[in-house]
Amino acid sequence: MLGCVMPVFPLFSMKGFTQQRMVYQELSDHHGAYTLAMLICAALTVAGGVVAYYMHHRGHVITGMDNHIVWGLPHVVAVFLIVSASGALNVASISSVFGKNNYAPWARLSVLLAAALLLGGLAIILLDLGRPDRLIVALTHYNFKSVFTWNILLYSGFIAVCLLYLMALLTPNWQTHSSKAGWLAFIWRLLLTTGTGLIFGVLLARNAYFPWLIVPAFIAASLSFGLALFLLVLLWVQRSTARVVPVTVLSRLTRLNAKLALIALVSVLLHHGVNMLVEENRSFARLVLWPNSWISVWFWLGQVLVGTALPCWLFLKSTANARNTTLGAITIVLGGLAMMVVLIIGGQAVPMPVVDGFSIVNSSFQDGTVLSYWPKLAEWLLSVGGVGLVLFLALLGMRVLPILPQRIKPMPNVVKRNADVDAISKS
Amino acid sequence: MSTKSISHSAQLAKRRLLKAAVTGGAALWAGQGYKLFAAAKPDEQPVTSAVRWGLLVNVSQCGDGCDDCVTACQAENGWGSGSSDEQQSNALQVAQWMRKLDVHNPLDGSTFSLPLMCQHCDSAPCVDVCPTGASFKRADGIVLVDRHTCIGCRYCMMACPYKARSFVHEPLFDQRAHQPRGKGCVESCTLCAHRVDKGKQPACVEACPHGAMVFGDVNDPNSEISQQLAKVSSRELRKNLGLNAGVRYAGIPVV
Amino acid sequence: MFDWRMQLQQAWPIVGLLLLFIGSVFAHEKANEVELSASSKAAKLEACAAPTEDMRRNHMDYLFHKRDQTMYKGIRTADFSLRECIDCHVSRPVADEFVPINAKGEFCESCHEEVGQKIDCFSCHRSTPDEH
Ligand code: SF4
Ligand code: SF4
Repeated sequence: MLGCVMPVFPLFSMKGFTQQRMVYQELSDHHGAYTLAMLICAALTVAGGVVAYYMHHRGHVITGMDNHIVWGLPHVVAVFLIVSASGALNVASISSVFGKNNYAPWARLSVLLAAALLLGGLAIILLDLGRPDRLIVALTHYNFKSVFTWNILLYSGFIAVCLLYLMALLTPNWQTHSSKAGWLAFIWRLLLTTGTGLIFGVLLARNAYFPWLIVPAFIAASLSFGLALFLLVLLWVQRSTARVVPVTVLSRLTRLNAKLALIALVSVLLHHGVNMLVEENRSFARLVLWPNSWISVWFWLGQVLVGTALPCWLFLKSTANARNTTLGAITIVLGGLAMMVVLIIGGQAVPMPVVDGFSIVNSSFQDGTVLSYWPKLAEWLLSVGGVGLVLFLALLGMRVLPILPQRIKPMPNVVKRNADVDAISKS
Repeated sequence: MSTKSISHSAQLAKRRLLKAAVTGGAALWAGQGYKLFAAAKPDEQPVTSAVRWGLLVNVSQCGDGCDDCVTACQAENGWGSGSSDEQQSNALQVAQWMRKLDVHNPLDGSTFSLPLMCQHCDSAPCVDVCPTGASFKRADGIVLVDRHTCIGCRYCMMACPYKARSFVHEPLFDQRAHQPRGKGCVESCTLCAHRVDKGKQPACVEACPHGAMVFGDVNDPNSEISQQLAKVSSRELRKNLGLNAGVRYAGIPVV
Repeated sequence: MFDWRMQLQQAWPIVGLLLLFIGSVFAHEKANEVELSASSKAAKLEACAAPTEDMRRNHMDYLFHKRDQTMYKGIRTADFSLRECIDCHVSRPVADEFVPINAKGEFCESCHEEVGQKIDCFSCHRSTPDEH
């Protein structure tokens, strides 16, 4: 069943495509690009697994994390991947929920990527636990007061919803089901980002997070980062498997992504701005906004310049092409990671007012100082391994399921194929 | 108001007196000095919420540069200088169950010093956020970590308003027999529950050469700590968070 | 038609394997005499906190029950407390010297090794009595 090409209801309503049957197919393995990508991703995943095993043996002493910065690079990457999972669903939502048919050919890829991103993020978090061997404890002992518990349920639910959605999309003549599943996934993804934002929002002890503003910031950010990751995968598909993404679709998506990046930045600025007005939270907002700490470097250079200004310029200046889309999506991803660094690492590095109203001048635990953090090899490998797992799962999905639209003859209004696409499709 | 809050309700006092009479452990207090704070609870008897253990630190008596309480805690509970372990961990990775802080006094530019440890919050954020329920509060208000269910996610460390918790970063071998600790789990001050259950004072209180710490049952109006709390003005750290901490500080200047 | 006997006849290798497996478990039980270390306190005592056979089968349940009693309720009696187990069963080759109870061939390890059960206790608990 998996080997066959699945015909699916008519959906292209673009000029020249009207009422054509959309045909999907598995990635065929005679693309060198596929095998190479698969090998690289598998290698990264294995490296992550090995380092997780080693860390379980030696303890977190091999990492740069400590009793101040208790959540480090793995959590930055994992939270980034998890919120992106929600954003990766954008294209599917646009087609199923908002009924924009010209995005429909890519809905399956969007759902697949969302599930893979979530699994990758979750894997990082679980392997970074102090006692990953007690996973079964985490799955059998629940404290329902804990936001973490809600999130465990939200995450497993998200994977289930994605699989359902994918099933509905893959089954011929299930349009009604797929639009219902699309709605469910749409609601679930909002819950997912809300829950993830609340992990930080409920930490009243931390003067970095303003509960009711960090949630919208996470939602906006998720839309932007997830779409950027989706675009990168889409471009890889276009480049390496000789499929063509209509330039209108690409342009709309990049424009959308630029706007979303901007909205994400505004909502983050709003968060920090309101923090500025709250007496206890001012110290953190100052470290972010005033250019006098390492945290502000990540904010201004990372999120503002690289993560927003640059992609906006790249995406809005002209019609989309493969090069500026790739560049723009990469900068959004980098900016997204920078945002997580500011919020997660920065939020822990700022001195905590343990004796409120007083500053601490001396402590064996360096209480009064702005701390710094740099990950060691273990965290790098674990995090990169998680990303490897995401891509590995996505590629595997494309290989065994009819996820991608069949290669189609270029039409007048599609992107000019570049030289290597020609080379590959001829081979 | 919660029955466990630090306030002296007549009802509780009565209940306690009654219980004391029944168990035959009466006359606990009358003028025996604060070192002898309670009759030992019989070993087989569970802790009850009739008692809430509290600690009062008098900052004006706490010595600058003195860290006898910290050293005593280390020896008692087998961390830091009290154990041969944690040689690979760096200064911020090693356990910090208790630490001394020097605090700037903006009134006259002087500094004062105080010990900081788990404040045994009544509405403890660490307990609320723990996904597995490993962080818990005993009936008598002592907040502990059940290392058998702790998965080492460190969310409690993110939630603690005093950074009172530590994560064990490497394998341990040289623990104290009464105080299990191990790699991958989170830990914090236990208020020396193992001593308290045997009718003894926490090690830090016993060790303080300046008599700056008073330990006892804040639900008992006759306890030394209750009387001190009634006499001197004291405060919680970060009171605005509404945690109803079990550890109170007296002598912090009002600014 | 569905014929049970035919099905069973076809399944005999599986049944046989299963029987072999079950048999091996019993054989294991027989061979599994716990050796008390001659230098331990336990070697000089008549019985443990419960009859030996009972301890052999159920010690983990007793330990789990006791640990929760101690941790959550502050009940600090000696029976079934891991600390007491260690104190009594640990090898004491010389006075005031102990061999970790989870070391190769020692009381906890030898049996757990044989039945292939990992012991998690000593990642947190001290494996010898406290010399302090
Ligand atoms: S001080 Fe921290 S560790 Fe102690 S009870 Fe409060 S939140 Fe928990
Ligand atoms: S580290 Fe352990 S005690 Fe802390 S929240 Fe996680 S499971 Fe609970």
